[in-house]
Amino acid sequence: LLRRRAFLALLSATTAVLLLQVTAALARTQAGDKEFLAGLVRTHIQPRIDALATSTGDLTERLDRFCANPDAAGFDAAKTGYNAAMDAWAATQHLRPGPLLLELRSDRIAFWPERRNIVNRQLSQLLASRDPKLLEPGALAHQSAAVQGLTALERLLFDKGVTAASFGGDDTGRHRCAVAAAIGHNLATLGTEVRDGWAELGPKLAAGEATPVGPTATAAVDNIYASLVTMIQIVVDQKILFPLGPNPEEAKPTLAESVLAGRSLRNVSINLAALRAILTGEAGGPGYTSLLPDNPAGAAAKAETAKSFDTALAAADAVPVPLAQAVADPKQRPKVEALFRTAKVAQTTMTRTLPPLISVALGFNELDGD
Amino acid sequence: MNWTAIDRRRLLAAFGGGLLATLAAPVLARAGDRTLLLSAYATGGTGDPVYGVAALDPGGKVVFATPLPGRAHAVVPHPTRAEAIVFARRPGRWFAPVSLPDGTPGPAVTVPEDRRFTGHGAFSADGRLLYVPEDDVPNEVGAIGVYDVTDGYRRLGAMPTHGVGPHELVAVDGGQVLAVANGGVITHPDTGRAKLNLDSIDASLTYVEAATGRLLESARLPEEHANLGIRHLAPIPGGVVFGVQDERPAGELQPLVWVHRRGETPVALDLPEEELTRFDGYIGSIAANHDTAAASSPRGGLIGLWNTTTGQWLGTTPLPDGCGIAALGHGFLATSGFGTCALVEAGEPGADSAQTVASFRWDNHITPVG
Repeated sequence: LLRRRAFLALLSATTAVLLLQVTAALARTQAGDKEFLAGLVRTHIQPRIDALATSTGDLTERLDRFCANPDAAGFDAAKTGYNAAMDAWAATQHLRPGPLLLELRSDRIAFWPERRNIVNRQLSQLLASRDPKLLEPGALAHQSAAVQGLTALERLLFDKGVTAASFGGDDTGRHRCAVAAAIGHNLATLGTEVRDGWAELGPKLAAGEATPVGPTATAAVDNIYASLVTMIQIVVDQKILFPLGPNPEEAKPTLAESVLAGRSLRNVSINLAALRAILTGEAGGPGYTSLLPDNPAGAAAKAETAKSFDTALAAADAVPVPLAQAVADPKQRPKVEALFRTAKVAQTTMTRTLPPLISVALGFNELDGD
Repeated sequence: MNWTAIDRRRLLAAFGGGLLATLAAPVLARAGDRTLLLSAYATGGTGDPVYGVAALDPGGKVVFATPLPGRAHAVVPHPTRAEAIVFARRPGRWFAPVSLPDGTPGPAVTVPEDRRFTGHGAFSADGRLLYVPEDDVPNEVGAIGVYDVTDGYRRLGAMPTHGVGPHELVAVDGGQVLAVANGGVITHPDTGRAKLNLDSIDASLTYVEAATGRLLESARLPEEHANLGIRHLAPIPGGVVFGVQDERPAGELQPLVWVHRRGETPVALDLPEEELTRFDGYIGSIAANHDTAAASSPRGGLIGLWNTTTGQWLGTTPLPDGCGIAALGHGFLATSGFGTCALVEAGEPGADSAQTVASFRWDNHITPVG
């Protein structure tokens, strides 16, 4: 009798879940998922991965030119190249399964969040050691991930008091530029590896073959979705909440991303826009909302997805000063809090609204393991 | 108790909300002589999840469900008292006793400011002491907090794990020795669960003398497996069986379940390549029953069984999002994030014994009592 009462009490929630699963089950097939993946690779993944390879290649050329002639124009050009590569990285960071996951490439492209100022510590060692072998082609790839990518390059280019003159003149300046250029070349190599990796992986995904992303097309669609859930968690927690802290006194501005380059909010905006794009589709291609059932519940979820991301993006635009400054400023802080709340709503759309309707079962244990 | 204001509010809210759940669940059932199985959970359905600790009977029926202030991880029963300790999920700030078999919660114990619990723990054989693995945050090393059970879980002190990033700890040799899985990954409270040293992880298995904190033995995996984090373990005669996670995937298949006998080097347990691929580089929980070991991969949705004496693979059974494993009878009881509880035995298909309580998402670990 007791057991039955407990069962009845739980019935409403359970029934709701079952009904949603039945509705959604009509929408997904292996063939459909194959087609979805093919579209996603063509319109979303490949163009963004290509942009990452192109921008890191362009960055390394700019750094080489700057080191050959370290003037103010070259310095600006190098910083522009850094920002373009960082834009491309923020636009691909959500594509975690596959080449970016392998060989620790994500960490090597951008080492963030970091441990106890390790990027500066490792970089100082590299700057202090004049061993030319460490900067030979390919050598950086075997050193700490902390000095391999965009996070270390940001310190070199944007640190306080750094000017074009810091990269020329004496041996110290030339060595600083050589380190920057070696990081550029390493980034270009990583960009090429990721592009080549996707060039091989993309067609397999589109063909529904077993890949590291998943043993079947359906598993791959599910796995990529799970990685998007991880990405929104990184945005909400690591990029917004951790610097925000519980109050202005306990705000931790130094925990924000890309503080020196003053682009913490830009990264957040590009991450959110990338998630919106893979969820709602871009360039005429499919997005996860195209897996929604063709009924009022599906239409409502589609609208909710677009709206929740647009609201969060608008909230990011509405913060008028750099994030690290805003979190500790009682006047600007409410705008960051609004960004946190709206991004959290977008996260809830991804974790609660969409999964049952698109038949993605988000594992409780598999998601962020222990 | 020493909760901050926010924590206390949350705690009260959790226990308040739990009253309903407690009334609805069949708490009147007395465990009597039956085996109970303890697991952390989150409630399913579409609302905000409530986290707690539950007891199941061997048939998978819920005996009690006690809400907690946050997501919990492992639960360990006291060897003689009618009580168990539930540990907060890492980075853990508390552990709390619950009485058996009714699940009444006792006062929670909070972590020292510069420490974080890792979610596991073990009692001394006589039940007078509780050993709790923790991160020593400023020193970036593993420690074992020692608590006096007879004095309201008063902290007596701490000793080193002699490793980095500890996760699970078990008592071996009749409780004289603590075997610790040091995952090798450094985290920090400021950045939550972000892994901060993936390029230089240092996993080890250490045996620590319980009475003195002295390092008795330390084992590492061969250099080519340095990317594997040792995270979960179970005692077997003469040593432990342990499961690992691939923290730095290189796209290569690597053994995930190993046996270590004292004084020897770790030996990988065999698994056909095709099966190993499906484990997706990840073991979430491990248990031993006589000479059989069971290890779960929630990412692969699989449970594998091995003979720890011969090293022979006995078979694999599917359990989507399955993670919790406990020795039960001649086999094992396994739980999943979709609320399923299934008996798993070598040579026996587990599916027909499965029982699902859809309103509960069983968390990573399940532990038998009695």
